[in-house]
Amino acid sequence: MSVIQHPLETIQELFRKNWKEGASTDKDDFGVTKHFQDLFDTREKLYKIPVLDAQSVHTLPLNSLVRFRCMVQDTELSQEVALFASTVSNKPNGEEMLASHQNQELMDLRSSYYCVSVPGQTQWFKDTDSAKATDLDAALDGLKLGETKTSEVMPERFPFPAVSHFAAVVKTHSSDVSIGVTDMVEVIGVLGASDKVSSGDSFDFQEESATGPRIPTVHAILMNKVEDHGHPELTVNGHPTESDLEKLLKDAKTVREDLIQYIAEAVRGDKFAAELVLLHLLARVYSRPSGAVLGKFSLNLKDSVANSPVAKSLENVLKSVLPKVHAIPMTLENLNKNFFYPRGEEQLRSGMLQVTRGTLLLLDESAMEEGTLIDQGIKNLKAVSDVSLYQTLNYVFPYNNLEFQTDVSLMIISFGSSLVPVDCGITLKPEPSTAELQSEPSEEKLRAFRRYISSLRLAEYKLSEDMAKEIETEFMEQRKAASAAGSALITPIDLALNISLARLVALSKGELTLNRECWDHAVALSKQIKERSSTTLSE
Amino acid sequence: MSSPRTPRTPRRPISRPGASSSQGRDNVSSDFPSSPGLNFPTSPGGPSSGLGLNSPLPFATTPGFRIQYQPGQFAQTPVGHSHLQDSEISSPMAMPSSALGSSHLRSDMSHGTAREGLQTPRRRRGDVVSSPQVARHLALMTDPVSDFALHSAGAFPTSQDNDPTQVVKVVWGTSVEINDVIARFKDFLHEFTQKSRMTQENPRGLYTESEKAPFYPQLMRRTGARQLNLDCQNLLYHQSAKKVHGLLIDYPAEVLPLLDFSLNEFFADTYPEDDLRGDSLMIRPFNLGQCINTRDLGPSDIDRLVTVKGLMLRTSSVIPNVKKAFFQCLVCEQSASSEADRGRITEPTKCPNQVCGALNSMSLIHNRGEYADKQVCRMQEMPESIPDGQTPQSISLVVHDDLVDVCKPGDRLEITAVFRGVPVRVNPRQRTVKSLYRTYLDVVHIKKSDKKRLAIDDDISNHGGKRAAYQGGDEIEVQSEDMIAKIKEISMLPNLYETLARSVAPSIFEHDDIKKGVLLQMFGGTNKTFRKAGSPRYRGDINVLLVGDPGTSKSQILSYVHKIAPRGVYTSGKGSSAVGLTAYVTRDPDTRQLVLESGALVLSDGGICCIDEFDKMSDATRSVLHEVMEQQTVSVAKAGIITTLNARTSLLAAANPIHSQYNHRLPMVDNIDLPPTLISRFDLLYLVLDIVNEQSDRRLARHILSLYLEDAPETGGTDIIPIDTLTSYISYARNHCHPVLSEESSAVLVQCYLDLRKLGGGKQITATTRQLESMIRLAEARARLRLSPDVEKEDVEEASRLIREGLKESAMDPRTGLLDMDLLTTGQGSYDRGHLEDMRRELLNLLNASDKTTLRWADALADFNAQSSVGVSEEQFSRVLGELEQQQYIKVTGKRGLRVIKKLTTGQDRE
Repeated sequence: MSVIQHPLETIQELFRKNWKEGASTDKDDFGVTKHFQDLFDTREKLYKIPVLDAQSVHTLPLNSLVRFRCMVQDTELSQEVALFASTVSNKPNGEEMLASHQNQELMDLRSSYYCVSVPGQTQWFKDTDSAKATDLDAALDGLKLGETKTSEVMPERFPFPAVSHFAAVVKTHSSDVSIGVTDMVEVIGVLGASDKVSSGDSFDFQEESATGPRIPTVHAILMNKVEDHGHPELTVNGHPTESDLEKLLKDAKTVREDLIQYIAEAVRGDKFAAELVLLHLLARVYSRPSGAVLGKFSLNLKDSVANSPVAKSLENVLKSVLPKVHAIPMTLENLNKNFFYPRGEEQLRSGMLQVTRGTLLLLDESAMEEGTLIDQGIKNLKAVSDVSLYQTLNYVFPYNNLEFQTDVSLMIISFGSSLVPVDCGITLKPEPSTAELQSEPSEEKLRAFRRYISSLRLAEYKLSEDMAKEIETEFMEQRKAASAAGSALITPIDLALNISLARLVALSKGELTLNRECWDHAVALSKQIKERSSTTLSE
Repeated sequence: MSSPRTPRTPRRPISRPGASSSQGRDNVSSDFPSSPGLNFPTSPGGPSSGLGLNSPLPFATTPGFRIQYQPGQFAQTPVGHSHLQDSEISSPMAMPSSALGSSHLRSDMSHGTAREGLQTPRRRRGDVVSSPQVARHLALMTDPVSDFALHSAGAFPTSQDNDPTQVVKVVWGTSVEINDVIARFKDFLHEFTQKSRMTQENPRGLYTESEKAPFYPQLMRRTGARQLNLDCQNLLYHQSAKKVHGLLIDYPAEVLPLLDFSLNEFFADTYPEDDLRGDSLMIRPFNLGQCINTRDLGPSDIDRLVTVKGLMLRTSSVIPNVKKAFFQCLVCEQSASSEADRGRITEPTKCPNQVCGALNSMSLIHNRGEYADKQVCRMQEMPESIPDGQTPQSISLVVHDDLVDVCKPGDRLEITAVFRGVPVRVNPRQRTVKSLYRTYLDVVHIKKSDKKRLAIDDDISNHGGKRAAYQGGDEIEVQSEDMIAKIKEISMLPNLYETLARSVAPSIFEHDDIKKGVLLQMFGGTNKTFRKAGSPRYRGDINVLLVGDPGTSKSQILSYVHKIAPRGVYTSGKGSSAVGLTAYVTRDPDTRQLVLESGALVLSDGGICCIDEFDKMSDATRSVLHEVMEQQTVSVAKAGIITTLNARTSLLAAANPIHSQYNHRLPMVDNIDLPPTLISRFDLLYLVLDIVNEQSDRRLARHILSLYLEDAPETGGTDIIPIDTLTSYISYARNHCHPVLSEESSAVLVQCYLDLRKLGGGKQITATTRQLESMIRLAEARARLRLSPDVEKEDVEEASRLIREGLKESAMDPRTGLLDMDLLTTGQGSYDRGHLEDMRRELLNLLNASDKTTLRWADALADFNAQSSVGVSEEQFSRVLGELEQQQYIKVTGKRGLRVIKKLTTGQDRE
């Protein structure tokens, strides 16, 4: 398609056809957005557009159409006002053309975002995204290469230190405020030259800042917010299609068993722990009514031996089924030296917790040793606790802090109790018999797992009024019975845990409404959690 | 008003002596000597000399980049415009017919020399450089040449216009009529009174003499500053100046110089005896009426006057900005100077000396140039105005002259400034620009939003002896902040106390009294110092202890308070060392788990320290708490350094009962593992019990489930105050309100205290002076909650009610059903004491009955329990033994399980 190679011509064409001076107050659009939306309305069509990444940036021609899947790291690079349209000798022209003084010019506010490749992307996830584009790479080889574009990054703007990534400045003319920090977006846009990003501290406004890395620019035409997990085999916005979902729900129970078995191998054969891990994978924050956070389920697996191998094996398993996973060793050095929270000084620097929604962070506390935690470390630990307790992350700016809502799954492997407060913590009970059966599941199975997790995570779940009544009555009666028997009462906190467990249990079994069976299962799990969590304390 | 000075229109060029050929860049060239318009020196459609040129920074260096100004203003083609002016404007005189650059003319205006002997302003505005037309016009108004023009006008009347007062001059491209604006503004300065503004806000008011008198002469008299802060709202309250307001916002570059000019004339007329010594007065407009968010500043705002709020992030050092450069010829030492024109100096390429005329011989003499202060700052938008999910945006500010160093990083400011856009150059050495514009603000006025902060800063700057003269407001007008208005509004609510209490942790069900207690804790009593008594400080902080069953949302209350309270610290009693300044990760010797030790108390100085699992605290930490809770200091002795750190903190602690479940048959002290001395230091003690009650259980379950059901969840109530408002309400009250006890309320206080004492019926002690102090603090906190300066009767009554409720739960001895303060203070009530006496006797008998001189401790206890009808706890047993030991009947030796009781013969003999 020529539009991929020469998108500017298409835009020019549209401009000539649709733009009338003074006719439209909405300068963003003279039919461009709609035109491109229609052009690329399915995944297949989207895949025709070459992916922009650290490798392809050198080969893709300037001013060609590219696709860039990224995380918005900062929404506020320094504000720019650009000429939107101008005229050359009375011939109407499009964007970015030289202007003359004859006629009226229009100016437009332009927002630019600093975008980085999605942090923690797992290999299979990257592969599915770019595999389909390789056919096209061959086709593009015939094209003449543009000037070599440098592509550098600002390492402090990527959440994870020492992880290579790709970054670009995305400029858009639309003032859509719905795209915020840590949103995962898929940008379809025109590749621009690599420029130095002005850090805003340059005192000469006319000159480009002389220092700083050169970052490629993408002039966005379409910016699609990708929901949550964004499994590439699902639809554009990350949700499964109706028919897919139906089939998935039907198979859910068998997949569930297989998956628990698969995870159990990583957690030393402990099937109960594996089930909780599975529920943890399905958890997401789905509602925040009046200050409460619903749906979060941070998990702490306590191992009874020091330097547990669980962290490593679990990381491998998670990486094979989840799109976004990152393991963070909670060593004192890491806590004291690195930043977990983003902070804005000259520019917004990233922190390890600045990740997209639906990313799983595996905190390995078994790596921690004794020693002093300096101020920095305490702040970091506080940031992790905030995410675990409230799913909020404070961005530290000079003279003020801003709270952002997150949805990060925290899984903590520790020796003994974790330093971070969690929703659920259990002690592992290894079952050595199964440890031998370390067999890799087939690619087919892995694919099933991935689809299962990605779609059920997002599935709509409902708690029926009848079931709620039953739970209510049960709660009252249990309390009455316990009080009569003088045993421990069931507390409201237990009840809340049971309800959220029930949601996850139901989803994991492919049920979209809560039924009796799932509820009983959840209550049983909750009981077991209690037993398992208290074991370390008494011993 | 007439304007007799309006120059008339001689049609011949006026040559000026000494007018050298410093060619202005905008080509006011002799190519168009007969161009008719005052304001239209260039050919229509040629490179614009219009609005884009007002920036002090290089701007519009590329032909053709003219910024769209106001839709509509440009609608007329330049040609049409020039026609218009042809007919309307009759002063081609203003058109310099020599090849005189506009900058040169302006320099005449702003650098009037003694030769001219006029009060022409010597200082030039750095923020708004007047547009060439205005500058030129104003120059003519003060220049002797214009007098000449006036005379010659009489000699050569033009055909178009005979009456000078009817001349209308419009600055090209704008609707600014020069004389009209000057006249209107002068009227305003002469006539405006505060009364005229106040009348419209409040028609029936009484005014003082000064409010009825013209305001600005007074203001200028009083401040004596070289600048006039002009509250633009005042313009709106003056009939004829209304129009100026709108013009000022739309065309600051044209209107501000006019206003400056009017002000200077006004000043010269009003105070002819005052000599400005060549200085000029400056208008600093503020309070435009509408604050624009930095985020919303768009292309349409470019070159307009805007008011923006923000938070100063950082400032550059002061940059000396060249205003006039001095050159000297290297060959003949002829000197020449060149004025900065929009931030750029034109270096003369040729020696002006006719005789010399050397090319490229002029060299810059640095120390003879003129410089002005300039500073570049970065301001972030207000945290309140950032949309969800976005990071804060910041914008550059350029401040000039007097405004330099006025604000410091961290200040909250309200800036009035001209919004600018400059194109980015492709290469600093080339004139080629991109289609990209970078924006910034040229500041004309700074107002600090935070009054309190302002006071501090003034002090500091006074000490430094630098720029203390700058004042942000116009003194008489006090701006009330939106937030303060909101806070005041909230304080007027009829059931304020209940509403605020409900707003504390709305997701937590019921526990209303606890919420009230915690709320009062956040407000706190007033800290007092009695100099005479010699006690350094009397604490106003209220300490609250929550004791209760696990799972009763104690932790939730704690974390809520931690979130809302200023400088709150949340810590778990387990493994927290109160004194440590840095935290330390240690391995718990018992469980081999890693625990974190943090210095919570010192960190929360001036805030609330929330300690969860208070009972799990180590003994060493607890002993520190004794000091903290009364003296509010922490003494640290470490590595040879002994120091006392302030820990002025309120304590909100939560503790669990000893046996996981609260035992109702035992008094509170026996239920928690805390020394009575520590417990008695808490002002309020609450039992958070998990009581089985069908109705409340059902409601509770419903409450939790409703969160998960689709319909809107029930909370404490609909009319709750959002958390951030509550936070600012509390900090406002804490900072601004320091209530004192009135005579009446003290009397009530005494009565309440006496009532409380009477509860014991004379036998038991139900209240100590500690409770009295607590009552005072709570009453003060409640008055503070109402933002009231006095503690009233109902505050005291509520305080006493809260204490009574608290005591009822904590100091009730369940065995007798009576309140007994001793339970709290010593850990044993009067019931215990009577009981103890019996035990002592029995134990003595037991010991005497035995023929051995030594008894194993555990055996003795077992024997004793065997013969006793009521169970005797280890604690009680050892207490009795302790008493006997003191009386020297026995001696206990050994440790823990190996303790041995040894009978002492001396004791037996005495018996």
